[in-house]
Amino acid sequence: MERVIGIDLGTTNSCVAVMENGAPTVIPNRGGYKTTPSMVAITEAGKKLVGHIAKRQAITNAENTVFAAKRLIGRKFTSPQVKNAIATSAYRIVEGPHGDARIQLRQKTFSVPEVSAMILQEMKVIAEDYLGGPVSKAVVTVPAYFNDNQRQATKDAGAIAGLDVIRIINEPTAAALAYGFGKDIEKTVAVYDLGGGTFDISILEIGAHGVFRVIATAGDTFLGGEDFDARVIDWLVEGFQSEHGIDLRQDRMALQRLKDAAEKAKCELSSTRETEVNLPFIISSGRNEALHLQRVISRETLEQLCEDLVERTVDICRQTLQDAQLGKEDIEEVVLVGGMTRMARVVESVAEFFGRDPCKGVHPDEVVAVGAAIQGAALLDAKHEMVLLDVTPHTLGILTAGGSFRGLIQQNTTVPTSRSETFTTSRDNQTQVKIIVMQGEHEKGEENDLLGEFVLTDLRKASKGQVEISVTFEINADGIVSVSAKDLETGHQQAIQVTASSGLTPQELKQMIVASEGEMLDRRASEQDEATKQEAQRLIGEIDRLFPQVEQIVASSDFGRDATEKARAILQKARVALNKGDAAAIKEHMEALGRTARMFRGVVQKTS
Amino acid sequence: MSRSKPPPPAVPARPSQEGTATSTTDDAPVMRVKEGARPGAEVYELEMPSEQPPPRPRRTTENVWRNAADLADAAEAPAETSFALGAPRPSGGGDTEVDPIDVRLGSAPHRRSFEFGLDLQLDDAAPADPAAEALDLVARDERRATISEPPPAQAASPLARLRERYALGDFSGALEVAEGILQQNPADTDAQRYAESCRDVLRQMYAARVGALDRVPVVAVASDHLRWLTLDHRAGFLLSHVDGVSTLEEILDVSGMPTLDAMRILVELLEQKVIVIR
Repeated sequence: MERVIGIDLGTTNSCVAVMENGAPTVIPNRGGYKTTPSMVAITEAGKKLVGHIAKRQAITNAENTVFAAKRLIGRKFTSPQVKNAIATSAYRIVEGPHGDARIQLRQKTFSVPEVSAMILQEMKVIAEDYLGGPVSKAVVTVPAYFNDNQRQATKDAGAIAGLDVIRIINEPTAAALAYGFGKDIEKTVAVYDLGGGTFDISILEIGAHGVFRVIATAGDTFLGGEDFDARVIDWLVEGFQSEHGIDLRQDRMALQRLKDAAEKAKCELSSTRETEVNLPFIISSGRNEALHLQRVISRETLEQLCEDLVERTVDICRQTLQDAQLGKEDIEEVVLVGGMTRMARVVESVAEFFGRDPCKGVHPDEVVAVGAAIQGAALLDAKHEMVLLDVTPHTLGILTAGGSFRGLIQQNTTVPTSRSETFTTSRDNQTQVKIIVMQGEHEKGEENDLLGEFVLTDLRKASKGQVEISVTFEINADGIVSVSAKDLETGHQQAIQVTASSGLTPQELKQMIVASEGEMLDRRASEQDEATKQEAQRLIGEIDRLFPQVEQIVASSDFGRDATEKARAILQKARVALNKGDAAAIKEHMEALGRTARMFRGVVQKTS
Repeated sequence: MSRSKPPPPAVPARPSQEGTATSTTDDAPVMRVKEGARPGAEVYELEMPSEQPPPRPRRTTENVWRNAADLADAAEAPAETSFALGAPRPSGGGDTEVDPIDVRLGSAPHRRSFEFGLDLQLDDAAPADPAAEALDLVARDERRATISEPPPAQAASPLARLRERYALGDFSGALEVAEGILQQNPADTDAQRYAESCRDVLRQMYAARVGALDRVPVVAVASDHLRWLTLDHRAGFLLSHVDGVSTLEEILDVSGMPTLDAMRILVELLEQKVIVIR
């Protein structure tokens, strides 16, 4: 049976869910965790690490560990966000051949979709292990503010990971979907999403027949749980420095342990009043004496340390409501998303600001993936009632004289759609006009994203304002945007088709898909070998355990003695193969081992 | 996640305290604990078989030993000998031939007899009277200064010290010296070669002691007793990754340390029984 998984590809953590018997299930990874860090690293030995294992070495191998790749996906190298990431990341960000941002890890350059693909592939593997079969289709979530290029780059990442991304949906929409699952509601909902690295607040309208409209969205892409961890780290470091005169920040190993301990303590303080941070042998003093860090932190201390961070999120909420011209009383429900919303102080602040207790019915870490899984199932089942409509994530329009932006198709317009508007020349005797197509919400053109441009020529020479040009924007069902400009007097027309670009050429994308498929095959083969090895070890253990009993039982017959000798030889051969780590030889001996184990079990059972 | 295979079985297992050879084939090199070496000092003797196959381009256990043997040749050569490391050595007949195998790493008496032959002759000629022998020892130091004998080990050049330690089988000590040289002059090819060879040998020694890397270590000491152990912060860091779930290989991966350092610390933690393999 074909399945569609829902993936929350987060800045800091990712999560995968699937619908099972009509109910959403969040799938745990091999470590039993329901979220997986969105981190990728390459070790000194050239091995690729993804998830928790990459996180555990993120500070000691900072130059070769990518975190928050989502902040870079689909962006130009020259964009302010990439510049900001360059300033704050230990890994190297370089310019790609198409002006995109790329990441250098141990002399190899990766495109951002490739890095995101490693995380998506991990989520795919988690789902396949759980479901016991291949998974090829997914719904992936992105922030509501992602533009077409970022969405396309996310789709490309899915393709590299071996996933057909059948729909990209907005994270707050997914959260609202999960919140509204199984309910017949029409409400205005605020989704407060405080994750590991970013904060987003979105106001949505949940309408009848599954229409979800994002009314407003805002946030801070550099505000999240990591900032809270940093405050705890600072507190621990300062305490240690005042006691021992040593700055633990100068030692990467100490800092890695502090980071892990700070995050753990912060999480524990969501359920307990105080917790102990105990890090023996954190550093060696100048006299080669190992020093230990042991300190108790209370919930009150954590709240004091992070008060301003919580306040910042509330300020953004206030501003977003103002921008959307909404009052707090217009918000009928508040949905909390992201692990940081477990912090009691955050819940109190949100409740205080909105004047109502947030909804407790959804799991903050899992709600977005659950929403994606619900949407995936709905897309697969034509009869399913819950259908999300595709909407334009941003306003589409053109740049006009003076550098201002004129929107033609507004944000959140349901596609397919088209709209025309008439413009005139702005100079006397103007014989051509340049149509600059942009996407964004800013009045100033330069603040928005450039999608493409073309020139309409052979205009009649006339005074300014005399020549009229009709500009038409059209978005078809596949989301492809066409823009045309027509001289209304002569009928002369020019047009372009705007296709979102992830920064990868089709050729590059194809190569990456092929390479990724090869890696996946290797990985599966290696896992298969490991499973066979473990099974061989298990069988050898069982035969060893039964051997004395069987030997005793069959000792009186020549046939029995012969059989035990043969069994001994089989065990010996299998052990040699195991010691050599020879996967092919281990496989060869599996049948004989299985047969021997069955025979031994039979002999013991018959005589017991 | 792919796992690397355990080290090849031809690598000597952990040498016994009695210095028993642990080679698996007749042709394989033999590694012994050097007699009289301090426990845990990692001083080994390496004895090469009399006939070796020609060098293979691939890095294998044999090649590591071969490389070690080449370097040992150079270490045994007098300081004024000018052939390059691993290069053909001039033979007595004027032709050049490669002699990479007639080597006993760490065979200290041979080496000393080569460099300090004069001292040994004097020792042989020394009277049996203990008092006279003591007098002779004093006199020898004075004579050494007057006849321009080689300087004592402490004053030797770093490269000479490196060669000496290498020849003694003190690979960790030799690596330390080589890294010191490379810190001053990263382009020093001799030091680079010695360092690489030391790392190879040490890596295999540690791998043999740690065993298969897909096994899971657990902390064997109660958490409230941990702080009373004599560990440094690097060991503490590695210990913090021993969670009863991660394999040795995963711990090496996440340590962020050079693999050799991390393996050495894991070996120490295992030998001190701070951790055990489940």
